[in-house]
Amino acid sequence: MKFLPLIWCGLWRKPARTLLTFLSVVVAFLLFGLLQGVDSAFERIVGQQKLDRMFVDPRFGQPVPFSYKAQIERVKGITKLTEVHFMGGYYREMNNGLGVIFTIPSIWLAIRPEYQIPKAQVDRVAGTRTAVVISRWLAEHNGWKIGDHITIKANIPRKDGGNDWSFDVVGIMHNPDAPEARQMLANYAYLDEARASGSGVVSRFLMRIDDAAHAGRIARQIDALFANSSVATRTQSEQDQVQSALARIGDFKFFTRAIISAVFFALLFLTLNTTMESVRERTAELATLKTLGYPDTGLLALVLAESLLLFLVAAAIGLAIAALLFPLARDIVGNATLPSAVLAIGAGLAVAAAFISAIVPALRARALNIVQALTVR
Amino acid sequence: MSALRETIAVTGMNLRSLPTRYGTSLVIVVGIATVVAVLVSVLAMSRGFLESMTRSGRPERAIVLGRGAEAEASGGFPRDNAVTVLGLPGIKKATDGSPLASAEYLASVLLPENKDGRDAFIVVRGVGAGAFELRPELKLVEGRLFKAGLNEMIAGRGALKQLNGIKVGSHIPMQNGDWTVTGVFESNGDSHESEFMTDANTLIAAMRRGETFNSATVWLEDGAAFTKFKDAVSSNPTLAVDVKSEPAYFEQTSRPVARVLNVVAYVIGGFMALGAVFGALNTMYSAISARRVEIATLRALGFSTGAVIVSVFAEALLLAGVGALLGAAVAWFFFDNDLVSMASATNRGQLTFALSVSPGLIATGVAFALVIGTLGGLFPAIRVSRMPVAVALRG
Repeated sequence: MKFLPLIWCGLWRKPARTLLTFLSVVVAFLLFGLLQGVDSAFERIVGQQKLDRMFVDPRFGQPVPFSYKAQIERVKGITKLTEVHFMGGYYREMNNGLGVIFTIPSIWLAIRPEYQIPKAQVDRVAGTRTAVVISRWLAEHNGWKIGDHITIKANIPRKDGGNDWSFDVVGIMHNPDAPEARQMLANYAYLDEARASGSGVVSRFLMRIDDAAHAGRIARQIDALFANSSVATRTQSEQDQVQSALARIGDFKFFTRAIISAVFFALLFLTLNTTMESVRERTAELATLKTLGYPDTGLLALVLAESLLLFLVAAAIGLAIAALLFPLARDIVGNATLPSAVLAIGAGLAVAAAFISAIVPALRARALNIVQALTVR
Repeated sequence: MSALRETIAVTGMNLRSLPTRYGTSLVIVVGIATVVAVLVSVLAMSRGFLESMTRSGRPERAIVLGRGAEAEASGGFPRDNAVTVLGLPGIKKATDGSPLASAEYLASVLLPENKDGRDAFIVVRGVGAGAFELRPELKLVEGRLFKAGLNEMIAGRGALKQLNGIKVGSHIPMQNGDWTVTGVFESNGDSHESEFMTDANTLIAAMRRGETFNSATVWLEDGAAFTKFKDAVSSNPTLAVDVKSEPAYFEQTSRPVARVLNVVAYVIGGFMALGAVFGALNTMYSAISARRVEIATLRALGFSTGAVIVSVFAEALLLAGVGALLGAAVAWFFFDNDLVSMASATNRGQLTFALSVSPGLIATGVAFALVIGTLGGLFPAIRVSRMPVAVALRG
């Protein structure tokens, strides 16, 4: 610790240069934090998806006959199974969109324990045909509360000729990982009675299986059941599905990696240059230190320590700003905190960058020949 | 006149001495090249996407969608509606006297392996008989057309580029068995090129999903016919459809995506530019520090401060310009016409499009670079003007 003042003085020998280098490092780590943050957030989304949760989807995009349910149920290893039918709609304003999931809400919620809801509210769904469980965001945004009778406009026409679907709010659910979800759960039976056409079909089936290791066998067994039926199926685990959905957005990883590499390439070029210059300018001073008895490795450590101090402090500030700005990316990644893994990777990167940009000048300082260095002056 | 000569002399002398400071000078060049390369590449993606989408639309054509549907895949209308729509006034007649229009049906097919070994959704567009006269940009480049009634389809060149090994003669698994790819078409690089095409009625029968069409595209008689056609649609109570002009439809569906890409480009580019300004300042400060004695000597000899300041700016801008061209060249070399595949904004499929590094984008990159160079030269130039000659000469 007693060398800290020496390192500090070495750093601030030319305040403008150090400050500018410092700010470049801050900006580089700020960018790294934001890009890597979005990237890690996507990965976290994939990681949260369960391998023991599976979907039975139509292979060619048609609606799936409800009658498949009885056959799927008989496949060994399925512990919970429910039908799902999606309806898009909006409340009052076109831009106030929401999604209705027609299902058996109690089973749907049992398959997805990450949704928080009091059990008493779930129990009330089965008793009321028009019951609905709304997400907390919908409740807060639209001012809905339990007991309210709500009417939304939706894209499925009703037998009575209209597009207005009415529901009675019996519960409010919350998923901390998707705090802004605009979804509500309603009884599939209500949809099937009231819709004008297409009765007896669903969007997909959702199920929980006893062991993630059985996912492949169960998927093959179900798909074989319907391979030659009117609607062929494709059964997948939730994780597989989310992974390929994210891949469809575009190869995001490639872009973040390419940009981060470009930023760090330019940064290392800059810091290597400034450190070289700084050591070159201080040739006489370093030689003096050697004359005073500082060991060769001591000088090497001194130069490395300067660089390390600069990088660590600047990286900390850059990542802190990234953490502050990250909530702005909420629209893209759905969650508002910078993953902590990014901070760890950032710290590692800072140490590596400090080392790379200072090792050549540091070796030069170690190899310094006192007599020569002092005569040049 | 002599002031000008003085400036040229000092600037020339300075630029000739650049090679002695090549290490620090490269910092500006590399820093700015990186900013420009990233900015231009991301903007090229946004531009390529927009070009591919808007190229699909022609003002002569209008698209009919199910009522309230934002995009083709999100709605539909029954066959009787399709028949009514194709008989409405305002639609141009084809050479055989039938309406120049096509009622279309979209199916998405999941092909388990694409180029990256992932699942790929490919849209199969079922088209009416008039589809080829309706879309003159559609050209068969390989094989032959599909025959109505047979399980045959033709593949867009863009779609094939994303798929592994599918070519003329390949079989595509569909609901009612394997379909054969009989030909390959090009469509001016627009969004249809990322699709497969076949006969609508054959596809509808195969999918066993009811007599529902996703859209109808019509060629209008003339500029005034759009209103006529639209009025005919909205005044018919049996129709549950909306009409949009084709360019408006494609523009509206692609604008949000393009906007996101542009914001990403400018946010990332802006932060990188900030970093590059710090780098440029560093370089220019060390440049004037290296030239301290030289500058003081010049001023002692009677050269004006203005001439010296100009020489500092010239150095910064020259380095920035070199960096910009280098960055643009990297973006152009690696990414121009590079194919990118993205989730389509209008249907469940993938949209494959080429990045487009245009002269306009390169100009944007150069402008960014010159702003960085100017900012990087500004403060060092101010310092130069304030440097006391006597102190500097004493070294």
